[in-house]
Amino acid sequence: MAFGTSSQFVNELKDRFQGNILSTREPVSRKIYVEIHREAIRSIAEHLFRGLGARFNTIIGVDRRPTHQDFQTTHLFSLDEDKIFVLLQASLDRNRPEMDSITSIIPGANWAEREAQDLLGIQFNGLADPRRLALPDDWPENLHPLRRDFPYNFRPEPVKGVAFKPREAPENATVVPIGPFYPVLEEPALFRVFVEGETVVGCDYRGFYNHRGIEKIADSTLTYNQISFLAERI
Amino acid sequence: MLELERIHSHPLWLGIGGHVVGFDTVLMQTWRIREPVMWLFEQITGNRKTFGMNLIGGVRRDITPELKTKILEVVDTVEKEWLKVIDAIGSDTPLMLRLKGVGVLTHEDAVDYCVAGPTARGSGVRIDSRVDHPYAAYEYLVPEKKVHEGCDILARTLVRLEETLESVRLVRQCLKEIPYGPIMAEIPSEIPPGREGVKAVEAPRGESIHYVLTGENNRPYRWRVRAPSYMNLASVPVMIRGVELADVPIAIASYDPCFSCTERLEVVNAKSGEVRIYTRKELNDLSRKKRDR
Repeated sequence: MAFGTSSQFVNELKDRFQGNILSTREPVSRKIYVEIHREAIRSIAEHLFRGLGARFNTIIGVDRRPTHQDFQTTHLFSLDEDKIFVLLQASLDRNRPEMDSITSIIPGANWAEREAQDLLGIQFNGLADPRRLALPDDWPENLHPLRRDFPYNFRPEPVKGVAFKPREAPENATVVPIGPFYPVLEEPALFRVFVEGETVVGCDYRGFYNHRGIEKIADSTLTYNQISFLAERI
Repeated sequence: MLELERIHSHPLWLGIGGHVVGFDTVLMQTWRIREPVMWLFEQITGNRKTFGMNLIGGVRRDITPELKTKILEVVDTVEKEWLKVIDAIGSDTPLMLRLKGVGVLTHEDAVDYCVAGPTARGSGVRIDSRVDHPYAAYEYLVPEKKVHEGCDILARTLVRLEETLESVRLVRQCLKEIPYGPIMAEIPSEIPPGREGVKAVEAPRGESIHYVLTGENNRPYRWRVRAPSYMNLASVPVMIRGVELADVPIAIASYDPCFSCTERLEVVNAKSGEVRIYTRKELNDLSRKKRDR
């Protein structure tokens, strides 16, 4: 579905969701910031994704406790045909940041939700696979490095006796782990491939062994012009 | 630079793809074709990779008239040779058998998993942030979206083959139409805090998205990066369902994220608990043996 102008899109959204849209703004052309009630995330995301054919891009979690007394999530969608970016922004409780998971509507949101859960401690209710994604398995529970009160150079003691919890293989399937180490290329990753005979019937993934926390370094120690050099090395 | 990047990256991918399926001639030829592009980078920026060109407000070096001539010469050669590569690959029956119908990511899955770049375009998703969300000079240089409906490794390969030629065209147009002028804008004072911005750039592997919320002390309060492989990798479990084990390396490689999953492979028989470790060589041999069947 194509909208002629962004105000057409905004009006339609406001009509449909009324009180759940708290405010909208378009500081730069075709970048629409929509402040929403956190309870409405599933219905609005479903409308954008299934109804309008928008593409889900990522979730941006921000610890705004020092400035706004809350956590904020931004679900970034794009309406590619209309050349529009839509940023759905919700304010979460500073003591119990939680909201509904949208992974059952948009499978591609699983990693973004798990990452925000690891790094900021935002809980996504109803997330089918809430295992750790970005943090190492021996990282202590309830310690979220992207929170503002976490010093960038703090190294917690590794927890002993923990390991990655692999998914159960289907019955009759043989597990073929590929990885996690290979020195030649970019990053190590573990694909646990489930096979029956030679045919792959499923796969479980564990990656992020190379997570370097560059976002944390950037917001704690670098300036804008230093960041462009770091960004190039991602 | 963004297009030259694609001109070096797609041949790099194709070479490794060729290597993974046991067709090393592809690797040798594509990397030979790519090398002069790397020399160009060095002449333009001082580096082969990680160019260090960008600052807030502009770039650090300009393109001289001599360089312009040089770039045109190089892309001419790349184009000529790339056409031969396309011809050679298209007429190679065993290679086609390895790529066609293998590693299928259906159009529906591509949409549901929100994949990016050639991975998406190979499954018929018509996205390309150069066209959809124009940045830099892409309002003036409009690339043609290269989309294939095959949803398999072959479709992803064709997208990259065609995009390389399209990039050659864009480099030419760019050099012809680029205006002379300052390469850096003056930024009068510190960037004020509390402002937000989001931007997508179509990298060779798909769109890379950056979000910035500005903060105090000339640094961001929050900087969020979403690389294209982030979305693509998450869909690997869906894409490799149904492929044969020997096709897993090329299927994963077809996303252009991480080829060396072939480094070490351990087969555990779930029932007996028996463990067998395959080395990278053994797995590559397994993959190549399939080609010779």
